[in-house]
Amino acid sequence: MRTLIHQCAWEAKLAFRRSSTWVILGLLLGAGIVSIVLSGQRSQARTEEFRRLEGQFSEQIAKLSKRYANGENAGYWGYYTAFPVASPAAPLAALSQGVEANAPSVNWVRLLGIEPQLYEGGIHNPLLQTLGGLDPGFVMIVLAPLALLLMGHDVLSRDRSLGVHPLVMSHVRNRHALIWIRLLVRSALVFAITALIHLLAVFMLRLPLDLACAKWLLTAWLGLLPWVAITAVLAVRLKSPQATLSGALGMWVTLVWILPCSINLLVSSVTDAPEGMELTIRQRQVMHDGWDQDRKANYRLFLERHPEWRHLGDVPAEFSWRWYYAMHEVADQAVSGLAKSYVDRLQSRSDLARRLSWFVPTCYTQLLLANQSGTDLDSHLRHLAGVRRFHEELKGYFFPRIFHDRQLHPSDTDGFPRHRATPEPPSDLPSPLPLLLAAALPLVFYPYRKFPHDPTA
Amino acid sequence: MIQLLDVHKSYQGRTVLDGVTLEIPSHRVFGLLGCNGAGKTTTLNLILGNLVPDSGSVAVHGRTAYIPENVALYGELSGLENLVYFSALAGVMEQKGHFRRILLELGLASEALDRRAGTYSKGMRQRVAIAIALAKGANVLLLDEPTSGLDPDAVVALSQILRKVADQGGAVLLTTHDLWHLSLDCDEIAILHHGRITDQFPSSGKSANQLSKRFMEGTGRACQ
Repeated sequence: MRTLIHQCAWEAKLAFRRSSTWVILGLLLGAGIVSIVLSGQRSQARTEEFRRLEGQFSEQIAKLSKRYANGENAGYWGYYTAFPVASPAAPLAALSQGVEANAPSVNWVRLLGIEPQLYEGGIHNPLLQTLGGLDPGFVMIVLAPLALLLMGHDVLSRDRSLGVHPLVMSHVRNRHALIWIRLLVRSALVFAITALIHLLAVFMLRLPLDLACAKWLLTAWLGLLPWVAITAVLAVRLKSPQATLSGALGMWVTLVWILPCSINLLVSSVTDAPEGMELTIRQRQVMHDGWDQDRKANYRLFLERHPEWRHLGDVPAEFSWRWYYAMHEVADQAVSGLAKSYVDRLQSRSDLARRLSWFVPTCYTQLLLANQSGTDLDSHLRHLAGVRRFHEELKGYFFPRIFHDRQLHPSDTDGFPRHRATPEPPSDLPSPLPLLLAAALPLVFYPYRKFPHDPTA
Repeated sequence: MIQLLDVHKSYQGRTVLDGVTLEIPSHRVFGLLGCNGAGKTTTLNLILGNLVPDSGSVAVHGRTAYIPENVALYGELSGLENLVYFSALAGVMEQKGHFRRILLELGLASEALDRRAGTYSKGMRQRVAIAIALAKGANVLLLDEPTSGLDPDAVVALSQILRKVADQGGAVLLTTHDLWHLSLDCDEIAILHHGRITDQFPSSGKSANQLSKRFMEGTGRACQ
């Protein structure tokens, strides 16, 4: 054991004497710090926006209270009030943007039709294969593997290029042990830098230093294990530093860029989903058509779905809030199938992407990190479902008052429903098994018995 | 300490060694002389255990160390650090002072010990390599073309070191083209030609010219 520690210490010393080690680790740390700063800015902006929404809501209520100081039909209050529905960021959201990188957040909702309000921006790429912006997750998934490959690809081939290989091989007691000790020492340096980045993120972003936070780092490390195995196989199988470097970069480009993009394309083409904008336009079309249609006929469509309002009879021929909100509801109903299909397709895209990501450790690691950060597609869809529930709550409050032509007064605003902004708990953690398998798979190609190159050659 | 008995070795149908028999006892410096492609490096690899003979047997009684023709060290480490590092590879852990003494005994200047090995001459690197071998307790030294590229002073110094190793009970096998060095150092010489030992004789008292003549006879006057 003492000999092993002694040798590890010397391998670390040898690694630190190389300028390339400092450059690689320095760049990784630098990228990590930049990612933390950018994540901090995004996080700060989101927190400020969250606070601003509350202020804007109060200002809005104050204006309406002034305008309708003596009371006004509930329809006016419902029309002009926008309710904040943003959820506060999950505690670890700053570590990995996940789907937030390309999905618009729904911050406000009004009493009008819900569908366009939810899907106005759409999610053109709901999959987790896109790598998103520069955040600590990106550093762990994209840059740390590159650092591992650059640090470890030449554990053997560098000796060959220096000419020191015969001397090393004639003195070392166990050649495979030497390769693994070197690789593990160099990998440990990369792991240490990722731990440092994570710690810096915890302090700079004021994240809770708890089990979930530790689990996030462990998951990121788990995602690096397949890369250690890949580096080992490349280092032993290929002879020259040029060959090992080319092999390493080829693997990195394939696993980090080509395969995720291919999966993205495949999933998009296999699960064709109507886009959010299409859904929004369809709903608005129905709405606009409603203005030109016979109001009573239009209202009857509403009553088919909502017989509880049948006792109020038909709407008047002129404008009424009852007809207006019913028309929104009818427009929502017209696209409800489309909306369900949209969500179902997003979910099935997510499921298919998750299954395919079993074969691409980069994607799977991203899936795990976004899941633990509370920024995966499931979290986003849960937020949208929460907004939909809140919209139902709004209707439950306003519709009886609007349909009975009641007046609301400023004092009534205290009783307006409010969205409970609770962070979404992460969904069930996907199994880390694929990453362990991905770490084991390359080792099938490791030459355990025969050492591939003649040491004196 | 080294015994090869009727060793045959072929690569892809080409015979490299064809019934080589050699015996190198302790206290001996043994020279293996041969043209390029004669099978010298294959012989060393068989002794080191890097290769397995197709037939025949190879026995080594002792701890071997191989010193290649062009000794390369880690340029970013000092000579002393290289010695400590390679000793660690061999599982040898000693105080730095011990390693320092070995290098000084082999004639490496004290000011050079802590200098980066990237600045060393070939002779200095070779001394470090021999120190590495001695530090791990090797008593069977295998040297491939040890004098190639060395200046005369360095060759003399190397000869003295090898003789010292032999005198202390070790066995030294060196392959070389350098007849002058052979005549200077070796107790016994074998000529390897086309994978066969064509001649073997004690070198005592033989001049480089006499060796040259014998070598020409042993190789059929042509190194091709």
